[in-house]
Amino acid sequence: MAIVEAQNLVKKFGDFEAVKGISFAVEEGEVFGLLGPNGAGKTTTISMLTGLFPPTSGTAMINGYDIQKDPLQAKQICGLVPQDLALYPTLSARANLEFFGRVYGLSGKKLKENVEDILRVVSLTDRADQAIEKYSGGMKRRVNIAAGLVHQPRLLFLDEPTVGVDPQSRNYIFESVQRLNRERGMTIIYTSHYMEEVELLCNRVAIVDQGKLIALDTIKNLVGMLGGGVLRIGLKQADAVLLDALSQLPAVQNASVLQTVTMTPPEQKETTIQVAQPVTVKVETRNSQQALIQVINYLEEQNQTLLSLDILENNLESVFLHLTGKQLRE
Amino acid sequence: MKILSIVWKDIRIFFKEPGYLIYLVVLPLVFIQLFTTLFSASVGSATSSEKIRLVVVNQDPDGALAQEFVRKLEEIGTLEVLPTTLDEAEADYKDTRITRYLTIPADFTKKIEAGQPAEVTFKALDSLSLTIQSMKMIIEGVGNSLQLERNILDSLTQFSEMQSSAPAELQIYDVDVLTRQAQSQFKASDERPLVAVKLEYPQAVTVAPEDDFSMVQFSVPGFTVLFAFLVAQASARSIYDEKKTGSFRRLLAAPLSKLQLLSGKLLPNLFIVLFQILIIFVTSIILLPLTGVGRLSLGEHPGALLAISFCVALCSTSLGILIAAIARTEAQIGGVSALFLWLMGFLGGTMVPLDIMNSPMLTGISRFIPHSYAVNAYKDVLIRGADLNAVLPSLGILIGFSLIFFLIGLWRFDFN
Repeated sequence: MAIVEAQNLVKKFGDFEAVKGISFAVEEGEVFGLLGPNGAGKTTTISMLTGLFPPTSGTAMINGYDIQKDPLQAKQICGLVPQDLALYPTLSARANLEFFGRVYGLSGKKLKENVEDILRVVSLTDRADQAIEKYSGGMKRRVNIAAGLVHQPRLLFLDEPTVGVDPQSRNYIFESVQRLNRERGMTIIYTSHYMEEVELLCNRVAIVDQGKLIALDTIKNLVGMLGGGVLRIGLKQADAVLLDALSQLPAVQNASVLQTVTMTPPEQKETTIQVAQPVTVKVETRNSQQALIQVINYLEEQNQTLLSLDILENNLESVFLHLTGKQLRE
Repeated sequence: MKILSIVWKDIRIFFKEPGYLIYLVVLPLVFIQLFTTLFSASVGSATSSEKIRLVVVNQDPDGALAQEFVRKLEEIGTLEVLPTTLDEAEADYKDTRITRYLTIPADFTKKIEAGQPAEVTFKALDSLSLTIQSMKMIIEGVGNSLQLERNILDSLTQFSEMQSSAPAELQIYDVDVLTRQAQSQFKASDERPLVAVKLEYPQAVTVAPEDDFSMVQFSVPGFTVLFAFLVAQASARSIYDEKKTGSFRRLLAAPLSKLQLLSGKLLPNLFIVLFQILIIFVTSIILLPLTGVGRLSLGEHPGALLAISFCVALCSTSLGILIAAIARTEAQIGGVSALFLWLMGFLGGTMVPLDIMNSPMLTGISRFIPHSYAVNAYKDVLIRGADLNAVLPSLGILIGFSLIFFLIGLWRFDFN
């Protein structure tokens, strides 16, 4: 049974449509990625799923409960780790965790046990009674995550948890996500605009852009959609005959002169195509290793000098580039 | 339980912020100290917590109601009644050995028993001083209670006579009828006083120093109300801070209803105001006398003070949600608070008593400001010796303001 079911979620703020009919389902035990650039609508989607504000239209079901009709039941199994340090800085880590535990209905022995447990998980037992305003950034980040976990939710929303985080804390977050999913079977919805994180952590990924869901699948299937990788070869010159011949090679899907795309704000949208000497040819392959041998052999036959060579394996970045025509981190 | 956890959390945060404690608890005490010292100096009188001497000329010494009137003046506890003859009083007043005296006319009892208005004359050299104004209030208060008691007794006697002589089918004076009649008498005593106080004073005099009311009795109610309402700013700020850090978002994602969340955010304000008032009052009783500005006397009805304090806290809390709803940025909260809370405080007579300003316009404006009702209610209890029943109308109005602020705040509140 799906623990999260979003059906045609739409959110409008005045005339601006932030989310334009997103639908997806998340199975229990999954680590589900919501990937997209800043402003794509990820946080708005998460906000609707966690009941922070109602969708303009569409429905969101959490564990079979409609978040609008039965918000208390739906929210009871959820934990939210917002991007910001949503804590009370003058209170200690223990006081913060006890407070968030109480608002989820914990009390007495159970509350104490959960707080001690989560303090151990985030390795802050020794400094639990110190005001968190005196903590380092990484420690605060750990308390921020702990506050979303203290009531042991079945479903955890992590909203861009690594933004502005140092590498050490980032690794800590990755390990925590993997451990919580592996050891506690926790379902995690992880939003990010860092494709490496999503590739590392998630079983399935929904790619959103400009409020729309543009792809949803496992990472393997999404990457596989593009074939076997890309070769970028530098040549003194390339004409249509050469490109056509390369495209006919058995391991090659398509060959074209690489266009240099400059992404600009929408209001000044323009595409600059540079075709100059020497030229870079993009060869999309079915199998990059076989295609490399076939391309080099052909160029030798044609007495073409190879000026440069890059072998690019496909990843979510290239999937996003393929789907939207732009890079993820713009 | 969930609401209480939010309340407890906010109270802990409040007490960890020394700035708030200084602003809301220490500052009012500093204001009270300064105001009392400066104002006492400006009216040229010493401050004291002793009883105020009132020379009374009773020209109706055998009249039962005149005697009762004098006895009630003594029972208030803030006045020391000194009986004298008219000749002595006039002579002392002329030579400024005394600066005020009260004359009860010879037909006082007779007139009241006949249901006609009686007028007592209060002569004072310094008619604008707070002491004289408050003494006049006390005398009026005693007059009203006398009249009310008289009216109700008369009515009940009348009912009893009619009831006893009427046949069984005409025994119509049940509890409801009597209650309605009593309420009507309450109203009548307020609107058409039988005992009027005529204040007489010369146009210009040099006032001789005499014993005086402790200015603390005036400054404590005013500044207590002013700073109690300033807690609304702290309440709005707390909600803003939660929104800014994202913890409000986290709370919205928790299994809490919006009512629980809002109640949890507002109740701390209520407790903080009550705590603040308690500290101000206790300090005004124990510590202020040590600084030489006099001691606050709580009067005879501490229960009434508690009820007023609760209504003030409720009104301040509701105002907090209104400010949080209309001010969306830190600067707006500061601006709205400075504009409204301090201005309302001034116009509501918390800093300078409205009686002294003697401006019909300001008095008119003050009717739309909750502070004025709160200050008057406190003064009624602390100075006039009023009980809970006497301040109920003011409390009702404060609750009305609270309801209006809360409903507008709830309507405009942006949970997102």
